[in-house]
This record gives sequence, structure tokens and C-alpha cells, in this order.
Amino acid sequence: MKIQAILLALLPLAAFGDDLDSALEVAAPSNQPVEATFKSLRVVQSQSVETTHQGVLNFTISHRFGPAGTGPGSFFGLDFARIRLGLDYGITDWTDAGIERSNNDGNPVDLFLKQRLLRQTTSGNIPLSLTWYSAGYVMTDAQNGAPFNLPFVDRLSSTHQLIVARKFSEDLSLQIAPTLVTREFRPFDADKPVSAGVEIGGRYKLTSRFALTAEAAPMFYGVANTWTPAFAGGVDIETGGHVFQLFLSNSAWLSEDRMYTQTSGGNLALSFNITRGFDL
Amino acid sequence: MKTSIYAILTLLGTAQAAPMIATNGYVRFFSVTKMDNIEGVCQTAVSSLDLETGKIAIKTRNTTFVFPNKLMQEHFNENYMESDKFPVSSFSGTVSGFDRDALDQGKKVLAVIDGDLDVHGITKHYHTPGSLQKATDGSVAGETLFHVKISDHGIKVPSILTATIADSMELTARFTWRPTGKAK
Repeated sequence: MKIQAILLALLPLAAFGDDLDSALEVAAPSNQPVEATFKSLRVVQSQSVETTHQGVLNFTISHRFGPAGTGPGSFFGLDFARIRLGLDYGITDWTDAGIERSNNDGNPVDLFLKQRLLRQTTSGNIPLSLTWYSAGYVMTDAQNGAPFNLPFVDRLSSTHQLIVARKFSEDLSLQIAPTLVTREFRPFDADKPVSAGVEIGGRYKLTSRFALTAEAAPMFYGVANTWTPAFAGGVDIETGGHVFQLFLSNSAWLSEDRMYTQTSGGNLALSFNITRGFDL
Repeated sequence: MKTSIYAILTLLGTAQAAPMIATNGYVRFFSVTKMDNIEGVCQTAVSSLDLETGKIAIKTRNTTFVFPNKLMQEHFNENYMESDKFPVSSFSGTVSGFDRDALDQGKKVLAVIDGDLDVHGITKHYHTPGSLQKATDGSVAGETLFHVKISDHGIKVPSILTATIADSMELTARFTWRPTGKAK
């Protein structure tokens, strides 16, 4: 009998807590879009599912040195560097547009658009994030120093990906991206105007500011046998407003189209991306 | 017989104790350094206040703090508050020392707030002044301002960023509690 009285006495306390929790659920639902599936716009060298926040301008410097295996004569590849500079702007939290230029053969300049289509939510009622990525490239200079006599349309190429990602836990995120590449300029007959493949990438966080990353992009169609899948692996290091990505890659190319379709061999080269966001 | 009397008394107690609820509470923290200002504002904090017992409770969802800088907001949740592990910050304690008659007359009264702030999984006791004012519609507005040391709550700032993020945050809270209508 006394127990009843005690239970009744506790009732107001229970109601007190429940009211506040249900009020909080109404005012600030616990189900929210998942943030930071990846730390950067790139998993390693491929685009990640992330887009830049609205109103933020990102400046990205990417560096790819020569093959590290060339030894001390070339300072382990450091004497030879490819560089790509990129700017991108978050038009909304779901739409990101950018421009990039690299000094790979042909000095390609590209414009890209990333559009989020779906965002994973914390409750799991939306289990995946989806982002569409399209980039169009034009070579602004000759291939391999040859006289530059390609008509404009023959210098164009493009990459298109539907990036499907899931943040499995605070530490583990994976993505898979069916990939199409179109190329007007192709080195071999076996290289087709349209190539298809898939990019797979992931990151595993070791601390809140340090993560391991890896990716590979085998192409299944339209790529000559000479070429090998591009792969890379490294670390993400985050400081205040910068993300440093330090990694090894087997591709000499910084632009996605050639990286996916014209990577050859397994020689690894030291590479890095530095991204800095500016709130405009 | 005795039990039913207890039960009736308790039920009466329940009815009287129905607290007022605030749902669009404002909680802001702010710090200034030479490098940068850090400011996060939450406008969806909830609170319950029982004027009879003085009992007060506040809850905020950490991911609802909005920063002028989106990157800061992401870092706030991911690196500092660890909002996936500690999604909610809360306060529970008592409001006391106020002049109930003056409050009922619609005057702004000073009060003392005593209680435990649970942030980042670490609870710390605070004792701070605040104010209360009752409006003609029966709602009660209250506010307080006090300082919280983030290191007290186990939030680590890398040494490279200590020039940007001050250890002491100014915390402002403003709530308007309304009767829930449950008390009869």
C-alpha cells in the first residue's frame, strides 16, 4: 500500500521530466541531417558527398609530387610537382559550384557543380546521402608540349558521378560513386568516348581531428588496357579552418577525368590537398 | 484509509505542481579574443519552471546552436561538444529568493538561481543572479547571465587555437514560461 503512495508521489517528477523531453522534441527534433560525413570536399583525390556550406568560399591547393620511388636523385619525387588550384562556393547548403585549374598536360581548366539530392538523417529514416557531381574540362594548352592545334570541341572532357554515402558511425564513413567520363581527346583507339566505372572511398577517424582515408576507382568500360585503376590513401588532419589531406596516389593526374581513365602503373607519389574556407 | 488520504494528498500535490513550460528559449554563449569572437545562439531551448517549489529545468539540443560561421558550427558539434555523444545540455535546480508578491503584481524581481549545469557529460554547480517578471497573460519571463569555463566541462581546445577560443564563455539565457493548463 505504501508503495502505491510512493509511486503516486513520484508521478509529478516523472511528468516533469517527460513534459520537458517532449517539449524539446517538438522545439528541437532529435532527427537532423547528418553533418560531416567527410571532413573535406574530397575523400582523398575524388570528390566526396560533401558540399560547401552556404556562403562559404573554399580555396583548395592540391599538390602531387613525382613518384617517390625515383629515389634521392629527384629528392624522392619532390623535384617534380603538379599543382591544382580550386575555388568553390556554397550557393546554398545543397548546391556547390567551383572552378579549378591544374598544370597537368593540357593545363585543364574545369567548372564543376555539386548538388545534394538527399541527406542522411540521425534517426536513420533517410539512411544515405546522395550528391550529384558533374565537371566539364577544357585543355587550355597542348598535350605533351606538342603544337596546340586541337579544335576547341576536341579539347573537352567531363566527369559525372552519383555519390552515395553513409556515415556508419561517428568514425566510419563510406561512399560509392558510379562514374561516367567523356573524353574528346583519347590516347588510344581502345579508349572510348564514354568510360564507366565506380569510385569507392572511405574514412576512419582516429581522433576528432585525425582520420585515415582511402579510395579506389576501377573503370569497367571504355578504358584501354594500358591504364590502371587510380587509388590513393592517406590521412586527414584538421586544424581550425584548414583541412590538410596528406596521401599517396598512383595517379599523375589531378583532374578527375584523366585520373580515372589515364592512370598508369602503381608508382606511388606523395600528394596533399589543403582546403581553407572563407566565410563571405 | 490512510493510503487513500496519502493518495488524494499526492494527487492534489500533482495538480498544484504542474510547472509552466517555455519552448522558444534563448540561450547564447559568447567569447571575445583578439583573434575572433565565438558566438552560438539557440532559440529552441525548453524549460519548465514551478513557481511554487522554485524548481527549474532547462534543456537544449546542442546541434541547434547557430553560429555566424557554419564551419565553426560544424566544429562546435564535432570537435568540442561531441554532440553525437552528448546531444543535450541541461540545467536543473531552483529559483529562489524572489519577492512572490511583487512578481504577482507584475514587477521585475531579482532571483537567485542554484543548480547543476550538465554540458559535455560533466555536471557543475552554479549559483547566479537572475530576474523574473510576470506578464498580464500569466506568463513569466526570466533571464540570467553567467560565465562558464569550458575546461570545467572537459572541453579541450588545442593549444594552437587557445588564442581564438577563450576558456571563459559568457552564457545568456532568456525564457518565457507559460502555464501548461494542466493545473486545475
